[in-house]
Amino acid sequence: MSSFAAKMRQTWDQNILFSVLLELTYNCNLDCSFCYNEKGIQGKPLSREQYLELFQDLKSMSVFNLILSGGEPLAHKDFFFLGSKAREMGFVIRIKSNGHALHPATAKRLKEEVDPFSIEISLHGACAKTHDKQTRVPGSFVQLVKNLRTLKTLGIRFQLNSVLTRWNENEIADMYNLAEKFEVPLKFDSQVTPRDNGDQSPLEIAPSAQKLRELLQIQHNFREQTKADKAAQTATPRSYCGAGASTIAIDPVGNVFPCVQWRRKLGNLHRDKIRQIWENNAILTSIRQVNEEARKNILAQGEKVSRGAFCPGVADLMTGDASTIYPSVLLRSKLYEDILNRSGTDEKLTTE
Amino acid sequence: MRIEPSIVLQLNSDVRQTRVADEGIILRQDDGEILVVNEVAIRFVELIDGQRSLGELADLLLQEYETEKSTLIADLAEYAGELVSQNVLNVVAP
Ligand SMILES: C[S@@+](CC[C@H](N)C(=O)[O-])C[C@H]1O[C@@H](n2cnc3c(N)ncnc32)[C@H](O)[C@@H]1O
Ligand code: SF4
Repeated sequence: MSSFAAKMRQTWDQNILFSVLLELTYNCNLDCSFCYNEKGIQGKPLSREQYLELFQDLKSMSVFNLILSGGEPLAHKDFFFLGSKAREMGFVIRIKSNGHALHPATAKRLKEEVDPFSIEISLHGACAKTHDKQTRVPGSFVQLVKNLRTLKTLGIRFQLNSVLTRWNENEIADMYNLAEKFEVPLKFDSQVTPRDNGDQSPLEIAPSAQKLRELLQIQHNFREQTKADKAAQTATPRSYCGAGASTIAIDPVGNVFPCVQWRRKLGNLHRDKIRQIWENNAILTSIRQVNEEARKNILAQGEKVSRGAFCPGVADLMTGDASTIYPSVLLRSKLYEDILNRSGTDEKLTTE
Repeated sequence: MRIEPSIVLQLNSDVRQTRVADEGIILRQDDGEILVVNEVAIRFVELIDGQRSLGELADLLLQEYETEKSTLIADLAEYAGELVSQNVLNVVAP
């Protein structure tokens, strides 16, 4: 029997749609200054009926994971209706939320009606000053901590996600401590991305090299301790990542993209069926080719660059070309190489 | 545990499953445990509905796979026992 990691590689290699991310709405109860969403997006939001039809189609394609994101997914007027339908249909539901609305009654409803496998909650700092600076909603940190306590009390599974920025880079240890207090994992993302409309202003708060190195060192130590699945790391899939190979993303007005980061429009659900886009779409075919090329390109650049957590979607947004290596990849590669040299070990940094 | 052909099984409420190519993936949400199972096993799990007995499920599978009924029932009983002990299935009746 195959391992789960091998099955995941198979989804990449054979273009088996496994995970679909739905940006249900761009409405939000917070106002993060770096938010990549294109708030003023034009178009008609997908209706309840269209979502139900989509769910049926995804089920018939054996899709496993349904990731509900946004904006703030809980701000969608039909969130509970859609979440409970998705549950009834047997999807593994993952939610990306800022956690701000997860008061006791809402959290309880979420568990009973949607029963998500996981909720990934964004944390922007270890104190109110830093977190609220990002969210631009005073009191959001205090509210978040209160809501995390509620989730814990109700036995709801969650994890914390954070993007390392210049604003929170001095609080790495304290953020890990906060996660530890709740006995949940904290996953850091070291890449601040441009907005979906190409605006690069969020990059102004990209972390400093020194703090980025600190984070990479922590992540390296963690991998060393846990000895992450080596077989999974050494397997050789055809594509660089799952974008357009096993995943897609759909925005609130029905536009379909290879991934939440890779905003090349493949079609629109007001006009096209998801199966048709997945199985017979010229743009997606070329995306898959680019993804395969990106893999070869990164490997050809050698170990140094392959350690830099390159993302073709971010490359496309930053440079207009999904295979161009952008500066933060080179920086991460250099820092990571330094970490390995000092620790005397060698391993490849795989994409997270 | 001993599984008779008359037994009725259902999936635990935290279990989610799908197919990837010719194998199945079963996730137990409560502890994040994942099983990768073969084609017949995932078909068996797909057919479990909390209503039909193991014997009835075997009859359905016999329409799809060529095998001896008695062997299939014995294999399913053993496999169902494993899945019960792994908290994937529970016994509804008798
Ligand atoms: C757009 S939000 C949607 C889900 C939810 N509202 C939240 O904040 O978690 C998804 C994730 O993207 C992150 N994010 C937003 N803008 C970003 C940017 N410019 N660069 C990197 N990550 C960003 C957020 O911190 C969050 O973890
Ligand atoms: S909470 Fe999420 S969607 Fe809302 S502004 Fe912040 S990053 Fe954007």
